[in-house]
Amino acid sequence: MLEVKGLSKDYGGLRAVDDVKFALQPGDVFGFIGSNGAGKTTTIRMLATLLEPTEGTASLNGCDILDDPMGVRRQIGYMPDFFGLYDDVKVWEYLDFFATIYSVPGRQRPKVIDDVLELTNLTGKKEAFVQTLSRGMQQRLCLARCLVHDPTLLLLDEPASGLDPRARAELKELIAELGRMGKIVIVSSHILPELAGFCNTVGIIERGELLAFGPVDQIVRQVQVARILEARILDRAGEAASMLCGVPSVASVAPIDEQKLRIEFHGSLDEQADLLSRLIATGFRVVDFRELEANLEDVFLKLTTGAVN
Amino acid sequence: MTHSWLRRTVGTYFGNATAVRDYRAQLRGNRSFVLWAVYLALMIGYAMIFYTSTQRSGYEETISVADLQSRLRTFYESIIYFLGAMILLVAPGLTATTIVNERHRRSLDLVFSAPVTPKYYLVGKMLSSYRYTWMLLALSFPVTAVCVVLGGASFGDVFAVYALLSFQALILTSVALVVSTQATNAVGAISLSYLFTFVYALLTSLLAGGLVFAGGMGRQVGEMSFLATLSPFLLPFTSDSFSMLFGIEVPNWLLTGVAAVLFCKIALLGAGSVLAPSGSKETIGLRLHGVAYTFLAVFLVASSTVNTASAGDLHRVTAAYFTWMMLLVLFVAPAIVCFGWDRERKYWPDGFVTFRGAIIGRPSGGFAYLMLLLGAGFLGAIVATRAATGLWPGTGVVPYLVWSIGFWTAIWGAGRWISAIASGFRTAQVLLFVLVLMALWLPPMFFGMISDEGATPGSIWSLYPLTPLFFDRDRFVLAVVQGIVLSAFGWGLAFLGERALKNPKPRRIRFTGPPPVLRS
Repeated sequence: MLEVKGLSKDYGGLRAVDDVKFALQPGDVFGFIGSNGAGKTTTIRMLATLLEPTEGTASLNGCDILDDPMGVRRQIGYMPDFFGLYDDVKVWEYLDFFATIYSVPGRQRPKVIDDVLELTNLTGKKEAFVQTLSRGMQQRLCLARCLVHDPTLLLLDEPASGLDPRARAELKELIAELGRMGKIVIVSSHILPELAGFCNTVGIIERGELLAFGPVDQIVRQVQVARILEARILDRAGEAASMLCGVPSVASVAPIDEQKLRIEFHGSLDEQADLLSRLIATGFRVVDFRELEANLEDVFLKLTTGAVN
Repeated sequence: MTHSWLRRTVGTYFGNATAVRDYRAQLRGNRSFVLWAVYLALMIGYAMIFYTSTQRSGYEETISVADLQSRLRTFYESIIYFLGAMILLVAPGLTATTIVNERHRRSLDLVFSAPVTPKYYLVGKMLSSYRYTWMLLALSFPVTAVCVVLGGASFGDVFAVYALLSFQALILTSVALVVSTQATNAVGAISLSYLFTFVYALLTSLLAGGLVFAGGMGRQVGEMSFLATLSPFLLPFTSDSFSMLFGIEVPNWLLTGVAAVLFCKIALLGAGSVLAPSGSKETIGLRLHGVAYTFLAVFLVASSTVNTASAGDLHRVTAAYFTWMMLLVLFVAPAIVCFGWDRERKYWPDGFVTFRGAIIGRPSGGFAYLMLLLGAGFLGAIVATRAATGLWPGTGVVPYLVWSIGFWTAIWGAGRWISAIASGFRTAQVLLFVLVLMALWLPPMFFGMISDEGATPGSIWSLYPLTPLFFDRDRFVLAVVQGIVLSAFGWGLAFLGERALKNPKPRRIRFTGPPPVLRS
């Protein structure tokens, strides 16, 4: 279990991360969302024990990042937003180096290397030099490096940046698989569709403050006070809009085109059903009436102002 | 616990992952073999030219066996000079870029997010560079062996020279490693490493020259301080020298080996301290080793020469050691006393004066740590005097101790004040070093121009901070007065610095983005 307890980081007079608190369980895939400069990388680097927090701490399965950084490091796999690959080194040598520094026993190393190469679909590149790999392959090699010691927490900072759509889809599938394997995965990104598919928990950070944290649907519910309904009426859509404006649970009605209306609605599901009945009873020819699901992007735009540190 | 420590230590020095990875990369492809071939060709060519010139000079005449021996010795010496030059060129060059390149490649983060200690990583880096230097030395062995076959030297000579060359390579590798952890780019790291190498070669050659050509100051031939063996250019004259320790002849290569290992240890701790967070084992180790080494250095140097002083001069000779030798601390003083907001947290100001800060390496410990070093140096000189002469130096050393406390307080105060007003940590360090250097260097030139009378009592020289240390006669009063004035000056500057810290002035932030677009 990962517990982040009031992490803060100052750079001189600038507060880059301010009192960030959250907790994650095994199997959680946590999407850390924020604009560039919001404090995602700083938080991740503190969790990776590469930066000393100014205040607060975090613990992973009982190991504190301040008191027992080595204990934490043994349990994490950190993938930064850059490759940090060595030239003149083969793929298996690169993994062998990291397996050695993670104290993987010498006899187990060849098997571990083969396993992580298979998991990341790089088996055919075992003898290749790392500088000859494509960007997507280098990204997967970095992920393979994070897995050589079977960590419980994976810290992936912008893992899909610069990848083509196919490589991105493969990486998403791989991360989802790691979550299913029971690992805690923290994925930071400012590209929201990238995270929406496979994260079960998200956190939105801006100017170092964690504005929202929790399961995706819960956050959406919390943020989205009104439901958005869309109705398509074959004719007299303007009249229908006027009629709807008089309904107490309707906050606003906006025409999308000649037939479609966007309705901001505060009522319950029963009231929603009554609204549809009333439209039909009044003689409007309704061909479509549905609730639009709010997505992560809506929530993000609603919560954040775009300000950066 | 012992078993785990042993396993960790063995793992650090044998099969170190960093060394293995670097070694694989070093030996990959034809590059290394081409370099070795060029190196061997150069070495053999150099040896052949010297051998031919030695041979030709004997064609026209019949030469004596002694003359022939002397010429073969010259041939051997020329080979050793070549190896000495090779060590000076190769050892720093191979090491200087090791850490700085990793920092640029940003692979340091990957390594230090793994359970790797700075020691493990640095030892690995050192091993990979040092092993390469050793390989070059080993490759030259057949050429050196020719000298033994021809009669220019014995295998004993060759062994001692190779041991000394490898110890010198270890020292230069350590220095380059420390530089590499501090440097911000590869060019800076290489330049600074070679600058240190140049200074090392110059100073050790001057020192060794003095010791070798002074004829051992009346001692028997071959006995000299081990410091003479630190010069790579005088090895043919110093490799078979020895020191007398407790009445036993100890070969100097052995003492140099011990000194090189100790130097390497503190250099690794220094480099590790740069890479580790505040209060790390490396920083605490560095601080404690610093105190112990100061004591040892003053003790060893003082005990080897203090016995030549007469009983009446003992206090002056003792004071000379702890005052002058402590001036070497000026090279590291900026790192001890300065602080800055622009670097990691360990360099931020964390209070005025604390003792704990002296041990864990925080800026608030600057004053206490300088006093600890001074105390260690003072104790080293006193103990050395007692051990060498059986006498205590007397109360005459007290005024010089007061002066020392004042001098180092002034350095500390200046460092705190400059740090409080400077734009960053590195700026403060450079500024402090340059200002202290100017304060010590410029006045003698200026005073020399305006006054012919020398450092007599009441002359303008009394204003120069180092005048009490000229030691041509006792200057008790001047030492005490200067000590008190310097102390007051130091505390005053430190309080000014504190005030500047509490009431920071808004600073202009330099615009680093693209230039603004101007309307046409």
